[in-house]
Amino acid sequence: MNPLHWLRTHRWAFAGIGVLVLWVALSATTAQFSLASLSGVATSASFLAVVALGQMFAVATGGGNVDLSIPGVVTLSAFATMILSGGTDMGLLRALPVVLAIGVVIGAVNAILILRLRIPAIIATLAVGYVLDTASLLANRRFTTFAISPALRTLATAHPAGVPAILLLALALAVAVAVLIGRTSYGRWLMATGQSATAADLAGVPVASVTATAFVFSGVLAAIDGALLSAHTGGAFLEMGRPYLLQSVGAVVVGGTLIFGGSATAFGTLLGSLLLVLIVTTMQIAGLPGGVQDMVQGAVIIAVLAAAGSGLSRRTA
Amino acid sequence: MSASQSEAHDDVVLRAEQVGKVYPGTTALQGVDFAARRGAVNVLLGENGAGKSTLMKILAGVEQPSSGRLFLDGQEVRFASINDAAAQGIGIIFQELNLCPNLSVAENIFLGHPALRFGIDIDTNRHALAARALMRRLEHAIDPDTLVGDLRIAQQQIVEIAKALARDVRVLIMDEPTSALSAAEVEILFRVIAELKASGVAVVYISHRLEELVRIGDTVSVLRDGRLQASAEMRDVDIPWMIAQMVGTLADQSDGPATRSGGAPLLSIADVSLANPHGGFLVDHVSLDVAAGEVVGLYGLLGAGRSELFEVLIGAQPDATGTVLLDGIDLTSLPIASRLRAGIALVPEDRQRDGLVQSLSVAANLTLASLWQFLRGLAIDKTRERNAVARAIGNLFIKVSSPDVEVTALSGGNQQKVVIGRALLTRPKLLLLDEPGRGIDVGAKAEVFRTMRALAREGLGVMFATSDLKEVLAVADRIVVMAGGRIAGDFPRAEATETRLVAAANQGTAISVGHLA
Repeated sequence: MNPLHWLRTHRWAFAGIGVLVLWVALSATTAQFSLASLSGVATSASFLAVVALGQMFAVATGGGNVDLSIPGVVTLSAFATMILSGGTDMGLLRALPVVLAIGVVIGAVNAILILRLRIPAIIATLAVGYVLDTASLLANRRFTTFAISPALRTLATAHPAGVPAILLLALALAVAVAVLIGRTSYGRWLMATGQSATAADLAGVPVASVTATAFVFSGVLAAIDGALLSAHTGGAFLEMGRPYLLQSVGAVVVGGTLIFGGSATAFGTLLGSLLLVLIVTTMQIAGLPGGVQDMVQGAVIIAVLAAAGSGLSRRTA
Repeated sequence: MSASQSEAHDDVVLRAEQVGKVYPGTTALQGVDFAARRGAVNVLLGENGAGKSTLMKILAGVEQPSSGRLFLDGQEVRFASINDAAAQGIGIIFQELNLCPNLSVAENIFLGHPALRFGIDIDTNRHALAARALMRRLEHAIDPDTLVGDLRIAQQQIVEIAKALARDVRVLIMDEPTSALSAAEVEILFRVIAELKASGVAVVYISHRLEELVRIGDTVSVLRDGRLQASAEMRDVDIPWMIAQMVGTLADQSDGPATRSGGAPLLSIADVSLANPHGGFLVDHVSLDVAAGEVVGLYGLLGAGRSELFEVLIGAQPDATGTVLLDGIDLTSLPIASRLRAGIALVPEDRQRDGLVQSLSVAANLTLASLWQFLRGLAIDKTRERNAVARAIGNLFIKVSSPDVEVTALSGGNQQKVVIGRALLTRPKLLLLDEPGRGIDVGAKAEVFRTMRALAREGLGVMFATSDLKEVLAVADRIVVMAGGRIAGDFPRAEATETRLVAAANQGTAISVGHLA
């Protein structure tokens, strides 16, 4: 098969190549980049991948849809986990339903704002995120404990056979999402909705529920990520979900999912998360200040979108 | 399944009784009765805006009627959605292609009703097999794994048809299924329709091609202005009857030849060329004169260079060479805006994409290109704008309840008139129209052509491009034939015949009769 055509249909390969190149370059040029730091990179990438897989559902619904409430959900769910679990496994059982409910409800609220009230997703989810930040602020005042449930801590920090448990979780999640997208009616309908909502509608696809479900997935995955993150960082703090605002979208598009919807790859999003984290690590090793790191991340995402955009216009020309 | 006695001698599968549909601002359908008989092709006919597509959407469950009732096998039914209707055996093929470009042929065909293994896993193999069988039935060698976006338009139309056939349909609604197909592909489709008929399917068939309808139709129902105008057995009627029912009176576009003003030509182009980036010329050394008060038909096959010539004239092709004179003024190196001000106006071929701003009102669309005329200081003089809009709507007989209605609410013919009206408000001397009759029905066409002739009588130069022989012969004073970017013939109306035009268009060699510039 023509390699160019193969690249067009397997866009995640670009992120894969990027990961390889950076990894080889880092290993060759610096002794600091040890196996231990590789495990650190994998852990950060895994936390990013969980929210990015959710973001991918929102982006895949098309029409420029995106879920910007993810950081708010992550932070709020981290607070909920800390406060309700009280550092015990029994408490965790109490906290888990609440965490999941936060994800489902926020996703449903986003869906109602977008589908019923016809507010553009980018505005609706941004506004919901601000409301959530206020809720986190209130939770912060009642925040008393830094104790973490042992079970959650194991999941977030253990390294069975040297591999971070959270990486295994992210991998399993990616496989599940890949099957959902590639092999089920829901996945097929999601792609159809993203490519042409009209065509999907007239083919009998339940476009509204497909879109709503995508935002619920996004909310739930962000909530789960928040709970795990609280165990990993050893607590909850305001704005802890903040970096995921741009990074979740970045991992999705760098991984090869089309920002205009209708095409998504779970594997690519995984690689995209890894690549973004590697880029940040590279800059940290190079000793660049934090502000510059943010600028470079933004620039990388803009560059990917520009490349994808011009590729798109070339095809339609 | 026991059919009652009354249904046995009643062939009607799906029946609409006194169906009406009211949209905000317009009544699309009013008290319409329609019956689809099994084992028959039930033709639905009407001008654009007559309510065909509304009725069709109601029958297929896409829209719900505001009044009236639907009966399926004599039982009253209510379709909540297109899926609901499909589950009861109603299939529909839409005119606009409704396919997902990044999904494969098989994926598109089974999008609404995937075959599943264990209730969740999509059975790709079964899809591929079934899609292959459907393609064989439609006599097309399209690989089910091809992405739909990589197919030609005609092939996509075949996929759209296969999509409907993939479900067991008892009623199949087809909206202009042949509009994108070649003659050979139309024959295949007709064979499939005959097969469906024989197996007892009720086909509801909508088309503008009247000859087609006479050939395959069994019954015909004509809609006009949202009401049922007439219905009859196809064998009892002929094409003139159908046109008369659609339009009201028999269409007659012919009027006397325009009075040709003598003297200097209005438009004079010499040696105009546009290089093809892939070699050769899109417009190949064309020289041509157009007089004021003259309607010139630019006839040619697809790709003959007609649209490109218009683009050169309006200034949209900066790389073109040669000279363009309008009323003695040299336009050759001027940009589009200056040419518009000098008096050229173009009505583009694709009015949906290039002609209209869909979300704006009729009034806003009309004055969009001539807003500078209504300025008082920096503000728009609303009164003067209103008056101009009212005049344009009146002069062109645009059918609209209010100028503030969104332009998309109008029928195709009336949208076309809005585009023409907008061009006219710039007070052009030369009006270029690219395929002004495409996509609008017989009645609206006649009106658009009458408008063009009337404008010529007022002293405008009118030039229109078309690939429709009858159109060019009915409307033009003079017919210029283009082939392969060149002028292949230039005939006064009196000397033009279908044979000569076709010969010129196909040869690509210049057979000049009369005044070649």
